[in-house]
Amino acid sequence: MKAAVLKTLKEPLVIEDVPLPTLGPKNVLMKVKQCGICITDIKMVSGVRPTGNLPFIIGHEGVGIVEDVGKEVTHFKTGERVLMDPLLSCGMCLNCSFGRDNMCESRRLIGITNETPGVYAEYGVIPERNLYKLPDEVSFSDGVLINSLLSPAFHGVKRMDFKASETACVYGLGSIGTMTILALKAFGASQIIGVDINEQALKNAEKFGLDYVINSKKEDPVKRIRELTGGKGVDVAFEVVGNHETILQAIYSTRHGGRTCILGVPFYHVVIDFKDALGFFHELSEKEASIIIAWGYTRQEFPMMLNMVKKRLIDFSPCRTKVIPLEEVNEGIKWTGEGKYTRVIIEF
Amino acid sequence: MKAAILKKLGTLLTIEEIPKPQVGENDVLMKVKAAGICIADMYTLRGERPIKLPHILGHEASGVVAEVGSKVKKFKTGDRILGNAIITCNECYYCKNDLEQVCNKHTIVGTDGGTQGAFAEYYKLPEGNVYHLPEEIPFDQATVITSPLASAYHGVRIADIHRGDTVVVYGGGAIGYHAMLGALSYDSVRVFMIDTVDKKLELARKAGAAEVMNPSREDPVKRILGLTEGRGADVVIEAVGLNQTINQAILSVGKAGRLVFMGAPFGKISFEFENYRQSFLFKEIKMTSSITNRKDEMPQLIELVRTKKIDLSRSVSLKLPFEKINEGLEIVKNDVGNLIRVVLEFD
Ligand SMILES: [Zn+2]
Ligand SMILES: [Zn+2]
Ligand SMILES: [Zn+2]
Ligand SMILES: [Zn+2]
Repeated sequence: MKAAVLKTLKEPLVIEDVPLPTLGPKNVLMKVKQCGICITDIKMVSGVRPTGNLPFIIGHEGVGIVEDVGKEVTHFKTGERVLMDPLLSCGMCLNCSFGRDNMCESRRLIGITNETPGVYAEYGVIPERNLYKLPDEVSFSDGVLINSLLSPAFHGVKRMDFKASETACVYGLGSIGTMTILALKAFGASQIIGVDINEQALKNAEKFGLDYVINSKKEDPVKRIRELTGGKGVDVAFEVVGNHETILQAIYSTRHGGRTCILGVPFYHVVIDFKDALGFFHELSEKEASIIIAWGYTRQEFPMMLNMVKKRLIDFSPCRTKVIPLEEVNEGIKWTGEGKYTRVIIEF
Repeated sequence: MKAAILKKLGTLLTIEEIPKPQVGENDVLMKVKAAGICIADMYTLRGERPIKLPHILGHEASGVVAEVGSKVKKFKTGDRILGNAIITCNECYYCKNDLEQVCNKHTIVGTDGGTQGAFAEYYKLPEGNVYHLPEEIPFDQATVITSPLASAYHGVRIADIHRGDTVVVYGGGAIGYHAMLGALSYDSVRVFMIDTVDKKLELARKAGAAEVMNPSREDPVKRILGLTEGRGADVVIEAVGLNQTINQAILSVGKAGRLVFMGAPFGKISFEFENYRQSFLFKEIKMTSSITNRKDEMPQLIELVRTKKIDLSRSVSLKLPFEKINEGLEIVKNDVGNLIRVVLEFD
C-alpha cells in the first residue's frame, strides 16, 4: 500500500509502497478515506516531539471504510463508514475505570507512539475498541474535524459543566478556539466573546457566531469583558493559548463563582504568576473562582459529538478545510504550520 | 447590659454597661452564653479591617432567645440557639443566582462597621441567621459551628469528597483542623495533616488524621506520593495561604484530583513547577477557592455535630469568663500554645 513515511527528522516525508499491516483478531482494517494533518505531526517531523525509531508512519486523525475485520471483531463489518479515536487506553487502570481514559496510566496514541503506526497510508489497522460508526449524514471531512479539533474543545466545554444561557469568553481563536465556539453554541451559550491578538484570526472567528470580538493588543480584554457583562465578568472563560498572560486574563474575566478552563497546551515552560500581591486573593479567593484543566478527550465523548454533528447542533460550515492528495503531504504540512486553514486533510 | 467595647485601636477593650439592642420585627435577641474569638477579630484590632469606633466585636455566638420581634415565627423565648453572622443582601446578582456566599453586599454582624457584635450579654441577629441548637451540643462547641466549622465545611463541600478518598490538609489551624473533621465525616476517608507545629499535628492525630507530616522535617509531597502508590491525593485542602504551601498543594494532588484554596493569601502567589505539563496540565485537576459559607449548609452541619459525625470535643482549647476578654484576645493575638479556639463564657 501507499504511505507517507517519516524516514529522517526535518526531511520531507517519503511516499512509497509499504506492506499492508497485519490484522490482529480484535482489529479492523480501515481503508483510509481521509486523515487530518495535526500540529503534533509537524512537531514530530521537525523533531520537537520525540518519535522513537524511524522509519515511522505518522497520522492519527483518520476516517475511512471497514475493509476487513479480525476474527473476534463483533461490532463492525466490511463496508461500514468509521471514525478512529487514536487514544489507546488500557480500560483497566484507575483513571480508565472512572471514565478518565484521557489520563490512562498506559496511554498510547496511534500514529504518535512508536509501536503503533498511523494512517498517512491507504490502510490502517485499528483496534475495534477505537472505532466509531460514522453516520451517513456526517461527511468524512466532518469526521476528521471531530477527531482532530472538536474533541478537545468539546471535552473542555463538557468538563466545565456548561449550562444553557451561561456566558463565555474564549482566549485564542485558532482551530481549537473556534471549535470551542461551536461547542459553546451547541451547549446553549447566551453570549460568546472571542479574544485574540491576530486580526486575521479575529475576522475568521466572527463567522463562527461570536457576539463580540476583542483584539487584546488594542484594548484591555478584561476591562472590555466586564463592560460587556454588566460589570460582572463571564460565567466561564476558556484559555486556548497556553500562555501565562492569557491564563491570568481568562481568570480575571470571570465573575464571582466563575470557572476558567485551561485548554491550551504549551510546548514551553509556563509560570502562573498572579503579579500583584493581592492578585490571587481578589481574583480567586474572594471570587470563589475555579480553575479547571481540560486535557484531551474521553471515549464516551465520541458518540455524543457524532450525534450532535449528525443533528447539526454542531455545524462545521464556517470551518476552512483544504483537501489534498497524499502526494502533496509535504505542502500540506507547510500549510498547516501557516495556520490558514482550520484543517488540511489528506484524501485517498 | 454589659458589653466589651473597642474605643481606640491599640488599647484594651473596656467592659461597660450599655442599653440592650433594640429588637426589630424580624430580629431575634440572643442572651449570649458563649462567644468565640476569631482571627478576623485580630485583623480588626490591628486596624487591617476598616471599622467605626466605638465598636463591639464578636461574631461567633450561641445562647438562648431573650426576645423575638413581632414577625419572628420559628423561635420563642428560652430556645437554645446559635447564630451565623453573615447577612447577605438577597438582592444582588449572586444572591438571586444561588451564590449567596459571594454576595456583593454582605455584612458580618460584629465584624463590619456599624454592626453590634457578640462580646456582650445580648446579641441581635435577623431570624434567618439564627438556628435551633440541639440539647446535645454544648454552648461552647456551638460557637465553633458558627464560623470556623461553617467556613471549613463549605470548602469541604466544594472539594466534592467521595468515599475512600485520600484527603490532604495543609494547615492545622482552626480552618484546616475543622476541614479535616469535615472530611472525616465522609465514610472511609483517610486524612493526612501537614503543619510545621508539632502540637497541631498531635491534635490532628488524636482527632483522626491517618498520617501527619511536618514539612520542616520532611518533604510532604514525597511522603504523600509514597502513601498513594505514586498517584497523589484525591483531594487537597490548602488552609495556609502561603506561596510555598499552595505550590506544594498542587504537587500533592493526583490525576483528576480536586484542590480547594481556603487560606486567603495576602502575599504574591505564583504557580511554578519543574514540569508544567506533568505536574499541572496532564493531571486535569480542578482548583476552587472557598470563601465564607452558605445558609443551606448550617442545618446539616448542626446535625453532623449533634450526631457526633463531626466531633468538636477538642475544638475549644480554652474557656475564659467574659470578664477576661482582654486576656483571651492577647492569647489569640500571640498564638500562645497554638490553640484551636478560645471561647468566652457568660454566666
Ligand atoms: Zn491531532
Ligand atoms: Zn488505563
Ligand atoms: Zn470567625
Ligand atoms: Zn447579595
